[in-house]
Amino acid sequence: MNFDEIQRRSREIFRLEAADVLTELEAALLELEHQPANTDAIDRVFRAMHTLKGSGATSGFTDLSGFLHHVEDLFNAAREGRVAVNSEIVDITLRLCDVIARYLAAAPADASAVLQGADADLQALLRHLPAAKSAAKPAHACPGEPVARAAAQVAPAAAPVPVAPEAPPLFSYKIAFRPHAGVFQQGVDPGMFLDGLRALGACEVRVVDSALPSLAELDAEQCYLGWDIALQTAMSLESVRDVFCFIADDCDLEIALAVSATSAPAEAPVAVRAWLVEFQATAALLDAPGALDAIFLELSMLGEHRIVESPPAGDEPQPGRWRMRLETDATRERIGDAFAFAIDAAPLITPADQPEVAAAAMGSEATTGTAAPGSASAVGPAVPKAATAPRVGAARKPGASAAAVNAKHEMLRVSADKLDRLVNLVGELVILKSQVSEGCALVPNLPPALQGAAEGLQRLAFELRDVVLGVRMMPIGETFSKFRRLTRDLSRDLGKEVELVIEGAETEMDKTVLDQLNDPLMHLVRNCLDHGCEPPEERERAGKPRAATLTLRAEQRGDRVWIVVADDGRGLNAERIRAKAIARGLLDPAATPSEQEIYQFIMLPGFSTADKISEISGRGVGLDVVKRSIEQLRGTVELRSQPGRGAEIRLSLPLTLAIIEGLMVRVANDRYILPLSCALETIEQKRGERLPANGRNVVALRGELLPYLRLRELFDYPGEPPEIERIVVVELEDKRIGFAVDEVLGNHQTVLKSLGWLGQHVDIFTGATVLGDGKVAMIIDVSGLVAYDAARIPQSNGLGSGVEYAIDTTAA
Amino acid sequence: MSKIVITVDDSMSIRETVKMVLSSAGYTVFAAEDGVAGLRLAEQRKADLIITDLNMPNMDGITLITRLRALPQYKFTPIVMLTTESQDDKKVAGKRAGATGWVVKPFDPARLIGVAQMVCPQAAAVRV
Repeated sequence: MNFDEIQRRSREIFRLEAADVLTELEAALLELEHQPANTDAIDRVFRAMHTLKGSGATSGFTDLSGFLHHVEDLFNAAREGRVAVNSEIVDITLRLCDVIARYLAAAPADASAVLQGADADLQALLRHLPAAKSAAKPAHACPGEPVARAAAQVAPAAAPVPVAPEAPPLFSYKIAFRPHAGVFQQGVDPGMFLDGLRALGACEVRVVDSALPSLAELDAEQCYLGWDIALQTAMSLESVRDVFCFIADDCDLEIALAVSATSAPAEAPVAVRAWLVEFQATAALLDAPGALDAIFLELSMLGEHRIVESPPAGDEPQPGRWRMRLETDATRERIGDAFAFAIDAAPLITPADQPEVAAAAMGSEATTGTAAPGSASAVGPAVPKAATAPRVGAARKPGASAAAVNAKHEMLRVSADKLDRLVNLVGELVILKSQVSEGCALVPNLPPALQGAAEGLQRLAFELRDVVLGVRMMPIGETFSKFRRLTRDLSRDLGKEVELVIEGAETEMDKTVLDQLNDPLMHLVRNCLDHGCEPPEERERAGKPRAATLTLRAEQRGDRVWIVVADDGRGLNAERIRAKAIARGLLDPAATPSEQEIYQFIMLPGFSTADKISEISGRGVGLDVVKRSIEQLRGTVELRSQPGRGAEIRLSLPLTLAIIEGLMVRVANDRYILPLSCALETIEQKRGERLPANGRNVVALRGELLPYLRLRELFDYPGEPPEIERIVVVELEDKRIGFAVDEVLGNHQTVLKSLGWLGQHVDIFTGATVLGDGKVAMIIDVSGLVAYDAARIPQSNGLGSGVEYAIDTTAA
Repeated sequence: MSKIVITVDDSMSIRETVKMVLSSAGYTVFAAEDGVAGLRLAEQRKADLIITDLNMPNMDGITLITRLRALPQYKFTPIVMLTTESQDDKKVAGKRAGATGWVVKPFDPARLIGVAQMVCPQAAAVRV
């Protein structure tokens, strides 16, 4: 990856990060608005600004960084108590959040114009800075770092050592470098500064060991050595001093300009040059574990090396002569150090620029088949791989697996598409698993191995399914907290005082569901703010606190999540809704529905009772849209209201759309699935015990009468129910109801398959699943089926199973 | 052998950028999002170089440096501060806590590699 590529990816990552930081910034600002002295919130704002500025600049958004510099200053001053945060500061900073978001979304060409457009706001904000600080600093108070600049010259990635066409004048420096005794404890190796000097020019280094104590007194963790260096370089005194920047306070340093010379040195000391390294791999060397590898490793640290000649290849490294070409800026002595522990290798190190040697090197480079003079080079280039690669590779393995372990601690952003595919595949796997299990059940005398494998498969498939579904679960808090800003801005525009209360932010939901909740929730919150909450004066007249409370609450109920949007405002006006419903021909003027039933009319398309269309809501696209989108998520919407006390809308949504724990039942020859989460128990009913009460089916359950629906009747199966029926008791939103079936087959893992366009208007099934034997079972939507039965009542003449409960749902 | 670097920064983009830049120079880079996670990571696996931000939630960089220096295996390991704070007081505090050096954000990739190479040399030829 080159630096351009790194910069491009870095910008992408910053955009992602900035979105999160802005969310956090906004949350902290809103908190600050309520408690301007909250030091924790000030700290969070400061840190967010700090991150946007620092990371922005690193990722190449320098204008953003310059823009935020003073804002960061301001909040730093607030952190230090020099500035008191007030509502204007919060206000402007919130507006700047929007500016930053627009800036990041803008095309590169327009981005800086976005920032310029916000200059007035920025200036207004900076007037709050104490005078001393507001004296304009340069936009980027981060001057290039001298040490780093000097150090960059030793970097392999930096431009090759500059060789100016005309040799610049050379300076001779005498440097006395005496590190303090404790520098090792700062991770300092004094050699790094010597290397830094070597990068500047030719060095003559002399160690000064006069401070070295006797061995008995020596503390190995102290630095006793100093160095005198004679340096010849074209660099300025400043650059030489910069080399010691990191250690400036922890050493005695004298740098004196000795003589100014103009002659170029005979040999460019730092230039990379090629060396020919020859040595003898003796039997003793090969016997010493790792010794040969150590030599190759040492040499490879110095630069690029290539084998020119080697002993014949074999399973084990063979004794013999090695010859290799090494390109490095290291000195001959340094190269020789690689053999410090292999003296009998008799290394011979010669510059590789003699023509015949170069030719030898070229020869082996050209093709592996060409024999270089005096070598067995047909196998030459392949040998080092055999000799060194496997060991180096093996040594690196632990590192690689540690990286994998480590990655678990980090957050990954994965595209939702990939997750969806994963969920689908797991779904298929679970279905296949059922087929395997059922297939195994048909085999007489199943071999135990196969039995064990089938059970293992089942366990794994379920675990995999749980893990994959868990990955998609996200806390709803983030979705909720987006409404803080909306509530604040809207209520201010409307001249209302509203406090947003969030409960159950930790409740987790499937990401797919969460993503699609944003718009419906937005509608509901806007509706509450616009229509539900009253202006403060009206509330005071009604004896309520001036500030209205808007509650967003989430809680898990079995395999569903309830999300409640409630306000303590004026509530719905039943009279007005009734009048409108009659005017639109939706309600018979003579009908006497309950108030709660009247309220449901506002969920019909185009039904708005707002006196005037406001900016905020009331465009006639409202609750019906909400209802439709929630229903598409297999959810339900319920609305309750009490005049003068407020309104509450409850969304009931499935935790996940992908998989259901089901109870499989049989009716005649067909199988159906009931969601297990709402199934409480199953009871038996013999034919003689059936109690038709007032034309409805009821069964006695522990002294109470439980209404039930008979699927056989609902689905018009011909024939009589069996002698003994089973009734599955389910709980549906606090109430109980039974479903009579022919037989209960047991629990079933159900991967939900959508019915597609076919099922668009089918409310009684949530989907279907493929069973182990390849047949399809429909998955019953319990509340849908109850509603369907209730709708049959007018046509039914006492035979229908319309139960009391069903009537209750519409009235609830 | 590739040198191991742990980079500690609460900013994801800085973490990732340091990772990309130093990986391109042959280092093996692990990342942590604050001092606490950085310390845990460093305890799990000995790093050859630590690069840390100073201003972080949970545990700031100065505390992290102090805690690392107290561990026997990190007594002499180079630790570089990576920070927007160009003020000398931060640098001095960091140095006093045991930092080896610093790089100021925004950093240039070559500059970061330069400092890493200086305090913890890594032969580019070894890179995988």
